[in-house]
Amino acid sequence: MKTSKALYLEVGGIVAAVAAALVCGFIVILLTSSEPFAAIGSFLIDPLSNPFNIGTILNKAVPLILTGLSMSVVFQSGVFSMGAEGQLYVGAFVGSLAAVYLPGLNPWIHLPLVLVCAILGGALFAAIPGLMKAYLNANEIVTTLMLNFVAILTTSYLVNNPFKSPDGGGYARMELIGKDILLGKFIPGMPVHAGFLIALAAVAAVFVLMYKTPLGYELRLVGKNGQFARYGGIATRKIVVLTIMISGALAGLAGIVEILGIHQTYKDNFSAGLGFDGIIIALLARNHPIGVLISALLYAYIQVGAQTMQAGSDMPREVAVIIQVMLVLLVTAQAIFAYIRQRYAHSGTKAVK
Amino acid sequence: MVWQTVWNQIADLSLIAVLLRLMTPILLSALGGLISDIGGVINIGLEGLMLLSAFTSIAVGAGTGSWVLGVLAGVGVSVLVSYGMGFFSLKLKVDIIIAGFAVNIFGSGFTIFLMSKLYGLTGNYTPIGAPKIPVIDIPVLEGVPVLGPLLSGHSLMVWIALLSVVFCVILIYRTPYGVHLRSVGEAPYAAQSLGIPVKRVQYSALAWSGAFAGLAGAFLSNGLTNMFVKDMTAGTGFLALAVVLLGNRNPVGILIGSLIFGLASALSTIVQTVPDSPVPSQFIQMIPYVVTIAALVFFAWRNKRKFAATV
Amino acid sequence: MEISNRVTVLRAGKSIATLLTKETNREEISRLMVGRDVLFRVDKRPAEPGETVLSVRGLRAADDKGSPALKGVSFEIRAGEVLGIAGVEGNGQTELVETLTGLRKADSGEIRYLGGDLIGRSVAQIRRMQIGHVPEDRQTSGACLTSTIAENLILDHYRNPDFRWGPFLHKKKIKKFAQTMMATFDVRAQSEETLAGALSGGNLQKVVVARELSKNPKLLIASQPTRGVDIGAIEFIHREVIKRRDAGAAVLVVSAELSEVMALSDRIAVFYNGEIAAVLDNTPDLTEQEIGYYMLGIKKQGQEAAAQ
Repeated sequence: MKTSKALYLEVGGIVAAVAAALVCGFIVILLTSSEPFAAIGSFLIDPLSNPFNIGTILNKAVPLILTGLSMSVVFQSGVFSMGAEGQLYVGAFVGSLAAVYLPGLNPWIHLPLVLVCAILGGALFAAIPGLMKAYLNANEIVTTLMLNFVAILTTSYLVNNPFKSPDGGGYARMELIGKDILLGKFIPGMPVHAGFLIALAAVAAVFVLMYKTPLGYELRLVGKNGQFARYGGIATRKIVVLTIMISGALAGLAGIVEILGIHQTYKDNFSAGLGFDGIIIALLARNHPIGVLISALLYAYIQVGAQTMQAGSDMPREVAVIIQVMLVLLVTAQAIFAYIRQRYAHSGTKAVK
Repeated sequence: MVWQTVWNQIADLSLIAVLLRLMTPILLSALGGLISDIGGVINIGLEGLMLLSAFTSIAVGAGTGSWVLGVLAGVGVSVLVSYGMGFFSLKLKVDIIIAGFAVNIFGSGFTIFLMSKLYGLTGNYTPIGAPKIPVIDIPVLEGVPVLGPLLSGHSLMVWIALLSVVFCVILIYRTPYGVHLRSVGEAPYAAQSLGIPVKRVQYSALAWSGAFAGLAGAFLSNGLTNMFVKDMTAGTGFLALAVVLLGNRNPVGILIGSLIFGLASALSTIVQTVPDSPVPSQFIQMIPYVVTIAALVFFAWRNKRKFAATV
Repeated sequence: MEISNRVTVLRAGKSIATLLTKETNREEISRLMVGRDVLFRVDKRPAEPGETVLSVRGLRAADDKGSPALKGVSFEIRAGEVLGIAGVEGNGQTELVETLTGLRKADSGEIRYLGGDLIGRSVAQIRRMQIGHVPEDRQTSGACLTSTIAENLILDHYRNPDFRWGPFLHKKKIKKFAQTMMATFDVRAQSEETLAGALSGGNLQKVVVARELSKNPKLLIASQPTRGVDIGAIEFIHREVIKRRDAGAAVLVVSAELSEVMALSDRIAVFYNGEIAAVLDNTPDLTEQEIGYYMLGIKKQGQEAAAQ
């Protein structure tokens, strides 16, 4: 089969799965709402009806793009890490420390420094399950899930005790971050913050890394066929550690961008599952960076749609969960995609011997 | 101050009661995780199943006035969703980890959806006069000094959980079904060639895990508390997965693991209630996770050495 | 041939002919399978061995379960000769190849290649020493089925500065390299972007052989080089192996097909139970039966003879 044809079939299948998931959500709305068409209308149309809502979609997409990239990198190397959530907290926390406690620097030096701290924090924290997987063969699903709790509880303790701002009122948060390094708006009339540009740059960087560099070649080869990689002399263990560290770096970046763009200070429990959303985004995108960008925007659109629907009708926004769950299940249903390939592939395939 | 409180609770045995109470949901869901794990269909959706059951159980219990119906409904829903998980993973070939992950999102979101749609509430649902799973008082023992507080006054579900350990030992090691289950988990192709209906066994393993997670969830809302709070499981399902590993995939080991984790939550509850505690409660809450990681590392290190020794 | 009453020959997805087994013979079926006459014996000149390239002494290694698989194996291969390894599968041949190529740890013994020691070197180091390795299973170790042909071919070259553009892979050069290789080694596919998994066994094996020969090996280790491959590809691969020998490479061929070992080798080492039972010169009067005695452990040469 031609590679391009396989790609069209795959994309077609994913689009169909997205449509089917939306239909499932709409069926639930039809069954439970007293004004279903108003609800569906405000779900589909309101998110795009004004620049404010569009800006909100873009803002919501920023952390999703970054955590989606984070997961796509590890998944491509065949490592099933679920640790983006914990890495995101660690990265955000370390970055916030650099943002709050290194005042007086030139913002052009300070902001990159903050980002680098967050990236390093996420990467080093991710190295723990990476080393355990590579050298002790400890199951990374379990270690990353457990380390998520360790990260969340530790940062929670720190922000509730030594680093708690006395001005926080009832909330556990750090001191406010200086205005000069916050990620401000860059389009007049739209609330989208400059983190969106960082996310776009990350998409490009991951694309180049995965498909245009020797390292990317190695990462993908280890994921596709570890035995072949080993036969070819690739140090598979180092690659496993490296891939999970890159993933942690992206998750850490997601955390600090969310802090600098939205929260303006480190808050306890600020993420609420962004790392896990990244898993969904990567699955939808089939781990491709461009796909991650599109899926994250779609996912953010669904989230904002759910909010506008809640505001404009009698439906609570949790209906979006049904769409998300169906999306995950349908897009990853290998049997469906195998069927599509079988059904439509053999037309136009020449005998190649 | 903290140690004083802990000591007092140990002395008057009330710590044991708290420990058993907190252990029960972990133990039940871990047994569910165990059966699915042995059948080769590792169920990471326990968290979501528990939430669905917790909500259903208290809603039906409050609606009908019967805790039995509530628990049955909760277990029923949980089993049903497990079958759905089986459909997606065994029939449509969704990775079982992803299917479990989807169940977790679904359980968390759908219970909030129902709460807001049915009762117009967003945070928690506290029906007045919802029936609780009864407490078993043993009249003969009530007055006896040590045995009384040790054995009497526990929720029925505590006893069900303990009996479930025995039930699982028998089911897994003493019945033909258990043999099938273990062979399906270890060598599915070999099992298939012997005529064991692999898929049917795996569906049933998921159903068992749903049933136990259902009991655990029902206990959370109808026994441990008398309300449903959004995301009230707070990681219990993941703890259960850890217990399965920690207990070396064996029901008795799981009982011990659950006791350790139950103790950690009991201590963290005490620490949280005592002002100016020297040990932050977050670190006590962290114990189960750190213990699990340490155990994984230890097992892995031992396996590696064992292999190295034979070379 | 042994068990059938009728034989149907399929080629390129078409049924070519159906014959009664007793009225036909191997040569006719082979001719129908490739569409031309096949030479069963490989045409080759007598070997002109040069200096010793690989020398193995007292090599011991364990299998995956930890029990001994190689129990003190010693042999030498010289430049310009083919040493064939015969033996019933599972007598240590797989472990031998894995140990030589760095994929398995040796317990003791010595492996000298062009005067240097190979023991303790990583797979990557060994691959950089002009040692080609065609692994026994092309589906799992020899190729990545979900990668493109080009990605499979550049396994040894992607870090080479010639294929780089700054820190990036040089797409055009890779493409050109892959196309040249596909033409040289007669790999039939739509393009170098075709997934390796879409290739037939023969074409996939030609990709593997092309990659391993493209680094101009001084030592070529070929494990089951033609297993499950069509006759046209067998012929092609055999010719390439002999071409390398004539160009002065030392070649180690491991095959479960005795006829293949006999067709290619100048000398034959017979493996039995983790040891070399015999090393025989492949003279015209050497019979399959004679080798068979050693393969089954019925006969055994003295250790000193085997070491030579």
